[in-house]
Amino acid sequence: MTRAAAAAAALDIEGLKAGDSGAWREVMSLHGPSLLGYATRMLGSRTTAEEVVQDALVKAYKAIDRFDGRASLKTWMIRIVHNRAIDELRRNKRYVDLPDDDPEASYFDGRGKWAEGFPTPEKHIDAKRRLAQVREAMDGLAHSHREVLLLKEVHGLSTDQICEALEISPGNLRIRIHRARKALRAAVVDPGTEA
Amino acid sequence: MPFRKCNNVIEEVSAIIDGEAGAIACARFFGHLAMCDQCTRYFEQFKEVRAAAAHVGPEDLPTDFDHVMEDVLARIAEESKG
Ligand SMILES: [Zn+2]
Repeated sequence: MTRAAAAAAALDIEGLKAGDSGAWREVMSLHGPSLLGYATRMLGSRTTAEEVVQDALVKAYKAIDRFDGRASLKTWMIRIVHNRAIDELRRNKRYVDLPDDDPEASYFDGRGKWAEGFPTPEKHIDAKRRLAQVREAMDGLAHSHREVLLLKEVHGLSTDQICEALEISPGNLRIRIHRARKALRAAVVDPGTEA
Repeated sequence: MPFRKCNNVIEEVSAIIDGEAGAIACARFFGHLAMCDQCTRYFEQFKEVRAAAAHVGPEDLPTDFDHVMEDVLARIAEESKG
């Protein structure tokens, strides 16, 4: 068990339910930074993310009696932050839903083989530049793509945890992850393609 | 086994990478890759981008969460008073 997992297991749920500020301090210190990191990348603004996470944690405090322990506390909190972030995006009409187009459809000929002009990334691109490209491409993805990548690749949540946090089915999650990675790859390798 | 089309093969890349593809799907996938340079290159790019995505977070992860936490605790205290 990692140190974080051990700390999470030892979390004082009863203390949280009793409104003990020490227990809340502990759980916020443990999960707060990653909740804020998630909200920041979803919203593209640190200031808005701080407001969203603040609201979400106050909401979590009020709703903790309904936390039944089926999901982990972290997953439960991510769900609250996520819903609050989506509200914020919708309110500002900035929410981008799944695009239907396949960024790579044009790579194939009529027989399903690679067409000519398969994009090749520059061979010796350094890791730092590649990372910057990926970061930029991630910010350009539809929110429904970005959220699954953030939770899976960045925060390392399991499939079950992501389904729990986003309230989607495993099948839906698989499709989203695959399409998100394809869009990301297309944006990095072939920046001319709209992701 | 019939020749698989590239566009069908790459649909399985994510499942392969996540270890969610079955043994037969794996065999077909890597069997195709053995004969197809372009799909091999695609697979390598996919892995590379995916690995980079895993590193997007840390640099942006906020280190100073304390003031957010203090604001939350203040709001909670305020609400339980009223
Ligand atoms: Zn191929």
